[in-house]
Amino acid sequence: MAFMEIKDLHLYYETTRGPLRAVEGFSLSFQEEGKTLGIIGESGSGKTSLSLAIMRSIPGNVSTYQGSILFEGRDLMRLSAAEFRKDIRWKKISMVFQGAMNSFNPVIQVGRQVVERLLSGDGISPRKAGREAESLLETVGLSRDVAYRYPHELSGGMKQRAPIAMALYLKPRLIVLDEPTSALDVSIQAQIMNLLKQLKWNLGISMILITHDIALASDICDYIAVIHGAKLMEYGPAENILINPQGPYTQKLLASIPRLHGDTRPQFLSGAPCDLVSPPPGCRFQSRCPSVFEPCREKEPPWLEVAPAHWTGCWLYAK
Amino acid sequence: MERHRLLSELKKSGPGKVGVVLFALLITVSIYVVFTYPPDFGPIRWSNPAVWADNPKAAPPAWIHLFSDTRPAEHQVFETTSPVHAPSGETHDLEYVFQIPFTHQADEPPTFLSFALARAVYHLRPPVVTVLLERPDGEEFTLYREILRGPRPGESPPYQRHFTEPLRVLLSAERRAVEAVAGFLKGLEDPVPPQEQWQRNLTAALFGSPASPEAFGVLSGDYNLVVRVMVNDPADSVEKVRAVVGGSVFGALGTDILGRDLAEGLLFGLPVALLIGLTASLINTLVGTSLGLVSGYLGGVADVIIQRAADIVSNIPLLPLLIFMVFILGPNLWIIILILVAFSWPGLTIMVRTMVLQLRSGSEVEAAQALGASRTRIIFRHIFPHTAPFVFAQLVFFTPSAILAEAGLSFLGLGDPSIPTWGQILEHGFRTGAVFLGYWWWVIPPGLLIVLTAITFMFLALGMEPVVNPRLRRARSWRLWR
Amino acid sequence: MNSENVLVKGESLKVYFFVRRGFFRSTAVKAVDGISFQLRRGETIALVGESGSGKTTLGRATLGLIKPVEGTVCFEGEDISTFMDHRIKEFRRKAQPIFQDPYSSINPYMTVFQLVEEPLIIHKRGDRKEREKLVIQTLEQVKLIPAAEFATKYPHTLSGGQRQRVCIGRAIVLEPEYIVADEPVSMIDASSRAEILYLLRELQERRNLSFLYITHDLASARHFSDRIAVMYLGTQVETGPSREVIEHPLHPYTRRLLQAVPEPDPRNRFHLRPVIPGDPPSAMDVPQGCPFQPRCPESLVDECTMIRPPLNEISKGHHVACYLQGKLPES
Repeated sequence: MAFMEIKDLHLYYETTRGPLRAVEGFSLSFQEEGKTLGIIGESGSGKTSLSLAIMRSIPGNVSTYQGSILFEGRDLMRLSAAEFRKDIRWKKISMVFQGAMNSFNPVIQVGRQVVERLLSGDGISPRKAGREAESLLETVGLSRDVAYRYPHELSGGMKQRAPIAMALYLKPRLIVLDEPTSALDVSIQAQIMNLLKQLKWNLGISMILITHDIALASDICDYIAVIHGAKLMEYGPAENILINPQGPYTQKLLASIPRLHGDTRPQFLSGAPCDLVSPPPGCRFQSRCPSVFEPCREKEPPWLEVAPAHWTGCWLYAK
Repeated sequence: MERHRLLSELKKSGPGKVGVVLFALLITVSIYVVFTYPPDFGPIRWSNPAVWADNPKAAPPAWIHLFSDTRPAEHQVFETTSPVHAPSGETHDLEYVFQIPFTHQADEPPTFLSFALARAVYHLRPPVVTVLLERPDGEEFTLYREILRGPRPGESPPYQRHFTEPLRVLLSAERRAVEAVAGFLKGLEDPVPPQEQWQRNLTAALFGSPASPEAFGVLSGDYNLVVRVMVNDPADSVEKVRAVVGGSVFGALGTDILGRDLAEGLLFGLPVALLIGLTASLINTLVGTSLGLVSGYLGGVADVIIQRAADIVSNIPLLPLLIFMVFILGPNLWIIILILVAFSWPGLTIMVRTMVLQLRSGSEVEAAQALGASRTRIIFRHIFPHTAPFVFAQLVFFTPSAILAEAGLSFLGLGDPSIPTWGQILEHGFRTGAVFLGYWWWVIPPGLLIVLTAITFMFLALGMEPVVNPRLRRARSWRLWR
Repeated sequence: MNSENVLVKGESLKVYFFVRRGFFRSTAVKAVDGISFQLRRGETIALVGESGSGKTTLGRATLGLIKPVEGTVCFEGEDISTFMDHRIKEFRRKAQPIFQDPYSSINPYMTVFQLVEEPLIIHKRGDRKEREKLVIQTLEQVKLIPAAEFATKYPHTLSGGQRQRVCIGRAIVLEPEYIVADEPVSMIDASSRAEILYLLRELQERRNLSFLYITHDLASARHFSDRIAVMYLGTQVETGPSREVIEHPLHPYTRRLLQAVPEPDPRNRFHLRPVIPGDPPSAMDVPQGCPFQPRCPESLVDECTMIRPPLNEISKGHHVACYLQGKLPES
């Protein structure tokens, strides 16, 4: 049985122009525990909505939210809100939100803010919670006294570690990380990625890393899913995706990364992801695709296995 | 774009909707008042006792009978300038007839009956005025018959009478009315109450028939007061006749101790309150915002001076100072507004300054500076637009406090006496002891109106909050989508 | 180096900010601490460093937006601090910034047309008709096509890349000679970054513009600049031709920085990335001697802690401020 299986997930927002299809028919199976899945997409591709859908942190203006997420033999979508909160959120699946480091209250000590999350879990004593907070901060490579500092006394890298510490507390099996290193310097980014790698190796935690940066994803991900215009474009093992991508979108995405060594100039993807309120028929990438041809404009591309466990949704590979 | 968003945001939220509806109502009523009331309503009507002379004093509203068993007599005032009959020019037809039909429906007789006549002109001999009361049971009482004053020595025709001061007659105390009632009672067969009893309270007899040897029963139905003026020359004329059927209840909101129609005063108070609130708020916003912009953007000495001034002013207790200033400068509405502004700008200034400081170091302003844009341009095009929604909300927010402050001042007796306001009406009520005497209709409506107006603006401000503080906006997810 | 060709020149620039600490004491934050550079016409220098290294401050100082406490910035051979009234306006026309955040650096209440027209109004260029023509031309140059359609839009309806192109349009409409691009693509999707950079490159070639490209992305600096200057705590630690600096880094800091850059390689996930230990120290107390010394793995204890190493030329145009003089073991 797959570790986590998402089937036909839909998430539409209500807008004045009609439903905005942020996640449309997303199906993916995350096979092995202890591995990391990267979800890569540009802004406006629906990647953040996907993470919210998995965590069931749905904003108020959602009009459609359906599909199924099988995790530990249970369908998360069928659980009641109370069950989900009690059994799943933070306990089995936790999340590090985008910009979480800036969500600290500036006038409360970091430790107390970590503790607050712990105390809301089950009734442990404040003293014990304090100790837990200290050791948690230690697991993410911060010294114990960080618990007694205020957010402004921490550097960017330290601040980003604290939400990861919080996410770890209840020993979840899966952590969803939404752009955990955006707006950080490369050196700090590398420190955070190293921390995540260590957690992955030492604690065997599974992760879903959501990012727009395919190079960053290569740093930790075993599987990579590429999404564009609310649809899954390609999914497969990191080796296949990074070395031998099949979908034109993934190829373009890889080519747009400036390489440090070698003289290959980066290419770019012109245009923006398609409008999610009124998407064109057929492939969502058609307007930006260099190898677009007739069927792309008419019918949705088929989902094909181009190599073992490597799937892509593109008409180029249809027989 | 911003204005459009403000409106759509207002329409979206519940409080915003309520606020808009209430505000539209207040504005409609105010426009009505502005167009129908004389501009100098205060001096010529409200503070002029002659206008209210015929009204009952401290009478509750007419609708209170809905809540009691007995139905009190309603105060009614009639006035007519068109006679039902005028001299046709023939020699024997020299009579003006005015008719004032009215209905008396109550469990008690009217408190009094009076009539007035104004602007009579004659050429030869003074006319004779006769007043008759026709009752629903067909009886007819002659209540009054007198000749207008004759020519004075040295006066020449046409003789004008009662031009400045109308002829006012309290019919229910007239000698002739007593005679008429006595004559009527004598003709009855049943035993009647003795004259000593009804003479003191003539309306009981005029508007009733003896029900027992001790008392009169009230006769309800349609009455007609007929005024006949017998003249001697077809050119003679009478312009206006007025009748007052005294009652113990009055109009929609009753009267105060001077007989003033409270509904009229309170209605006038609405545009005044809005004027005070909006003007004070507008000036305050203008002053506060400009000082904030200057202080935040220029910095340096200007900033220090403005901020210290703001600190000092905002720490001076406003109320004692207001009382003192009004005492010195005299109770004038504009002075009151100016003083309110003079002491409330600091809050806005400090807040706008904080926003400006943040914007000033932002990249938009830096980009404009790098383009060589002038200070004025940066302030008006790159700083002010960002503060505008907030400033506008402050404008709405400050309005009720200005209204309340004026009401408070008026309540302390420091209002502008030439312009009646709700606060002044309240104050007069309190001074007269309306609360202890149980004149609730004098105290509650002005209080409620003050609250209603304040609440309207509060609702508007609440509805605008999402614009000012976008984090509260319902559609939160757009941030995720950027 | 032909001095005729030098457009912007900084000479031992120092920019300090004074921060109150306690009631009486104030400390100098040495954002830029003695930097000299020369930018030739048609050249791009990439200023690379972590946040807090002073690269943004240096950029602002060269635009005359901050006054240096010491040193001078010369533009076309003249000290910009001596510019008065109309000269400063002329300088403002010739030197333009592009900022990192395309969301906050343009007025959201103005249309694209108004935004691009504003510089022309400020500098009283042409009448309405001419300005309109210029704005449309500029929008076409920054690839906001169809220009007439984009002109009527408000910024919030545009994507990050499109907004940044509006910013670029605003910066180039006055035909400047010098542009400070402060992390122009860091807030934009990785996939569209190259597009913006190519656009800047194209404009540079067409108009012989000079760029100061401030970035922390070494990979893009390699492809889109002629020279790279690596900054650390307000000082220049290494400078040289882009390729040279990337392929043969001489300073330990540059080496570590380069190792931290991820490249899309699936083998990355099997090993930890070498990182510079610790956080960058604050510019409030810069260590004595070499500023990188406390974090430097190769530090020679005595020399490095005493005197700041001078910037020495090791090979042609390649300078490094390190006592090891590039004699590092090859990694």
